[in-house]
Amino acid sequence: MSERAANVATSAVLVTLAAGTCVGSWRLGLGDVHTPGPGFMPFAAAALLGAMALVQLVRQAASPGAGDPPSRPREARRRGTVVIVLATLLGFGAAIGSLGFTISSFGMLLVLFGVVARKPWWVTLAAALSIAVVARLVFRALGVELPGGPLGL
Amino acid sequence: MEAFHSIALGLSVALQPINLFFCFVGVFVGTLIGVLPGIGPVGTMSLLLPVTFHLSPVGAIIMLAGIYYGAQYGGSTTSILVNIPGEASSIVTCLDGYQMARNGRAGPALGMAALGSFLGGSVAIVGLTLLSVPLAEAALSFGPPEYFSLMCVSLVVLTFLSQGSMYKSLMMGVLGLLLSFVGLDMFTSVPRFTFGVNELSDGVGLIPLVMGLFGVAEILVNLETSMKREIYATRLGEILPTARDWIAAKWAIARGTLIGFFLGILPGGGAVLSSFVSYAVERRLSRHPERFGSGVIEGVAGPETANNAAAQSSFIPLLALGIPPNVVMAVLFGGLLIHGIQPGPLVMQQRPDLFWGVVMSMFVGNAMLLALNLPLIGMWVRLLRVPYDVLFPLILLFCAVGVYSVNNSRTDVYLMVLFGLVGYLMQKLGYEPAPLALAYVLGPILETALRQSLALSGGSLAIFVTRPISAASMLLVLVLLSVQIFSHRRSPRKETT
Repeated sequence: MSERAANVATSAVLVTLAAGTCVGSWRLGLGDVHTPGPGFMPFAAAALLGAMALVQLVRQAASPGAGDPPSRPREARRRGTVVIVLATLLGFGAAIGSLGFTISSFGMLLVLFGVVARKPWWVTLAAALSIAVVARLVFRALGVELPGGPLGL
Repeated sequence: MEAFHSIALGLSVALQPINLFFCFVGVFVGTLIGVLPGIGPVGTMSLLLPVTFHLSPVGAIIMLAGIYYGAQYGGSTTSILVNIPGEASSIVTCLDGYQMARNGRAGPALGMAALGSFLGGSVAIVGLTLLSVPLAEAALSFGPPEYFSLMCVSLVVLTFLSQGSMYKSLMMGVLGLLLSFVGLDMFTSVPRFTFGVNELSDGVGLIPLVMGLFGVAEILVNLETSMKREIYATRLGEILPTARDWIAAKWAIARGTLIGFFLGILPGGGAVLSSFVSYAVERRLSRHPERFGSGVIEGVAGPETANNAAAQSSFIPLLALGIPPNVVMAVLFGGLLIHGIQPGPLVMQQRPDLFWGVVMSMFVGNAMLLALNLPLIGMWVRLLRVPYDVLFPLILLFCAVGVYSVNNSRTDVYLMVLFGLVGYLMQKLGYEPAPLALAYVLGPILETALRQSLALSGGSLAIFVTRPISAASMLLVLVLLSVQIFSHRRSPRKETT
């Protein structure tokens, strides 16, 4: 995606977000200047954001674009890395409550070392296991309460 | 006499063995994260906030403060030896520091960075001691209109001093304000934009927000770039700068101290901007500006002194006015609130042990940093050899655990992931995360001050222009915005892209 297209897309997202917030704020109640309601400040801020984003959108849309650069395999791989890291973090968040800290962090480290960092399987396994156990002991020593899961780990 | 009493009180607190320990932990961790590229003081402080729940407020703030100014010391090591800035505030140090290393003078560059940081930091602490008391006394007379106007100044100056496009920074500032309105309305308890999610009743958490924007996003960006490290070896005996180096750098250190001190107080200023300004000033004042970039010691001494002076002086608006001037101070602001302390002018009266203890601990911390950074430089250099693909899984694990452990909430982890993605996209598209995070912190104070002011005036907006301090602040806002709009019209394409 070209820089211009990215700026247009970002501005459009911000305009939509601002418009939605304005509607939501209106429903909350704007009040008046004497007694501003709960929607007063969000409405003012959203209106300002919407106006600024709209100006940027118009400027960018009107400016001549340089054309989209060709997509490269390396960039696709990079995007894949970003998706994997974020999905792993989401998985950790979903699992920690039910599986406990040690198992969920072990799983997360397996993916990060094995898939993202591409370490050999035995390094991945050893690193994930040792770090998960040591981290558990360190957090326990620091008094940070974390779920133990079904195995109490 | 009262000043001596306060300093004595501060020293008695700072020199307690437990507080010395927390100070050491803070500056050690600060140096460590400064040395290691990929995680900054904002992320580390957020990460350690849950750990501080079990500590005394004084010990917790001493440790968190130590992380910030410790990171300024550590950041120079990677800039000089690897040409990768450990911190944003050490970017300019790469220019001459790395060249000095290539010329076989890594030792004096590292030594000058540490000693300059010590001098700049120490002078700034004296300034902090002298300036905070009168400023806090003046702030006691401030009402909601003055606070509202000062917040407006903070937000506008923040975008004015931003590194990238001012227009985009302003938009991110407004977006940060919008995010700060999520949660129960403080006056009516009406839920705003919570979408039925109970965890959002208290608003979007500061820690998921900053960990996502500054921790996760930074890692995602770093994973895209190969971080090859070619470390220049240096003999420990060569660390101390020569007399010739000192003669060359003395005015750079003096100017760096002043620049750092004053820019540190300004909203949005802080360590990063001061290091850039110091480098630019040294280059302009030099008789041989063409030599900058080839390894001149002034190019290391000035910025490194300035960033540490700024790190110390940025505590002034936080502790004296209750206004965080940058994102790091915003995290510290959150830390104080967690410990039941409302940052502001009353801290000095209600918790003098905390205020003076933290200030005096900075002297102690600076001395510790000198000891950590000069004789132990070899240890930090060895740490640089740890590959990034070993570090990043650890950093991510600590980010996730740190966020989760604040409220034992998976929603906070999801929010961190969301802000990580947002922060990554922002970096890709040239939007700065700092204005968003700072506006997020200032938002509730701004809204409360506005609504209280309007209640006081019976709904008249004239209250903001009839009180002298508020009127002057509003005038400053108008001037800054006019300058911004004027420059925007002169170079519209540059500003919007």
